[in-house]
Amino acid sequence: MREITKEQFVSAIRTLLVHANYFLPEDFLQAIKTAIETEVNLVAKDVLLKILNNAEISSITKLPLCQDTGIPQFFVDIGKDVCLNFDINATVQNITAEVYENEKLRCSCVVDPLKRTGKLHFGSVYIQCLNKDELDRRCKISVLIRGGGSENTSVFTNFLPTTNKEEIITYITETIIKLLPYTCPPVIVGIGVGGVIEESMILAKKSLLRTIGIRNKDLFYAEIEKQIKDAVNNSGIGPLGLGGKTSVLDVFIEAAPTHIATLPVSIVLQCHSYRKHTVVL
Amino acid sequence: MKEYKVIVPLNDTWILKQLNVGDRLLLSGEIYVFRDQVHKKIHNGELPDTLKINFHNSAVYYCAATPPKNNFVIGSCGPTSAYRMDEYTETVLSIGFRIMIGKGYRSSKVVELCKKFAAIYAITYGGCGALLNKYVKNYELVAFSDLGPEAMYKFYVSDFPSIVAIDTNGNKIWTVET
Repeated sequence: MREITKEQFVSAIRTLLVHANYFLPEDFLQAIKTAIETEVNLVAKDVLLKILNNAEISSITKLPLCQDTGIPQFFVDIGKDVCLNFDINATVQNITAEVYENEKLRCSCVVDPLKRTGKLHFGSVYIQCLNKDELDRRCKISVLIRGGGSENTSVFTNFLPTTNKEEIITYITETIIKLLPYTCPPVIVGIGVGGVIEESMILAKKSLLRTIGIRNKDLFYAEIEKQIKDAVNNSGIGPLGLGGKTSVLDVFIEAAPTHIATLPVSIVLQCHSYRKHTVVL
Repeated sequence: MKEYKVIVPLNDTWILKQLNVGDRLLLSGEIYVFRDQVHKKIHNGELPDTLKINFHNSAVYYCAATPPKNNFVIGSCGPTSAYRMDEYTETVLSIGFRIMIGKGYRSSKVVELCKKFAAIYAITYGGCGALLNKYVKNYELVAFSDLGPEAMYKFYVSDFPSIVAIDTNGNKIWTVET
């Protein structure tokens, strides 16, 4: 059993938060550059150029990429021969508060959702113990920093188990097109199909950690990913809803076993402030 | 598509009637900055009367910035989604605001209100808070300090960029039903 120390874990959380708030990932920047070359709408081109410009300014000045420094959402995957002998959740909360305070990141959370009282820095944590060979002696920690706009444009639906593929694709496509103008397109879409209900949402969110351009290993889902991406881009909504053919940069679907009576589907829109980063310990 | 440089608060609202959907609008001067909770407070009559007079022909920007750092006067300061203010927009226009800046589409009711009040809604660069920093020269707290980042502020801006999304004739930049 390999032990990962609290110091190693703390250092990883710090790295993830600092990096993700100032640097957009390479796959995203490349996708934007490709979109600029193919986009014919001049307003859309301008918005896409501003996205690159903003990324450059943020990386140099260390002003956060977006003022909505959101809720950092951590996905901790623990291999079967790894031991973390400390309170993971408490450590994440402490380090998130420390980094957000030191880096002057916005305090965007209220303590009570209905009373809207109290302010705090907060990170959500999902821990999974995996049995994958490559992670046997390792711990993989990823973060997605998601703002309120992206969270508000994410939905869950229960379908009848007899619903056919075409109906699901139509529903997903129409839902994305409807939600797009209320976040910041071009978006990246994560979709979770199956599982139990909370699992479908976690699948959708975790799928956003995939690299743009990488398709689901199952050709059946890979084909649906392409189909939805093309259909949404044909909507003409465009960057920031101002028109153009760049509405979505990629669509990721992940599937999991589910009950014979259920068909859960979760759709998560990720705005163009695609703050994701991974560290493997 | 034309470009207009406009000083706010407006001396004369005539200029707003010249703006068409898709035009570029560069604002200089003073803009008020508030979002969800302040809208609700204004709607519920919690705004001190002494403040209301200041809003005549003013601009409101839906934003909650990050704190200043590294010698910048303010932090990242991009727009938030405007649709969440739709329900309160009539109240905000009725106390004198004529320009709204945010991101995303608005309800058909807001389109009608722009026509009724000869007001406009403009979209600025969502998700580009670090870029928009350079157009904000200074800022100050105006009211509701207990709300922290989403209190009411005043930004002093220079050529703050946006694109007209609803004009005073009730035209809108989107073609879908909202």
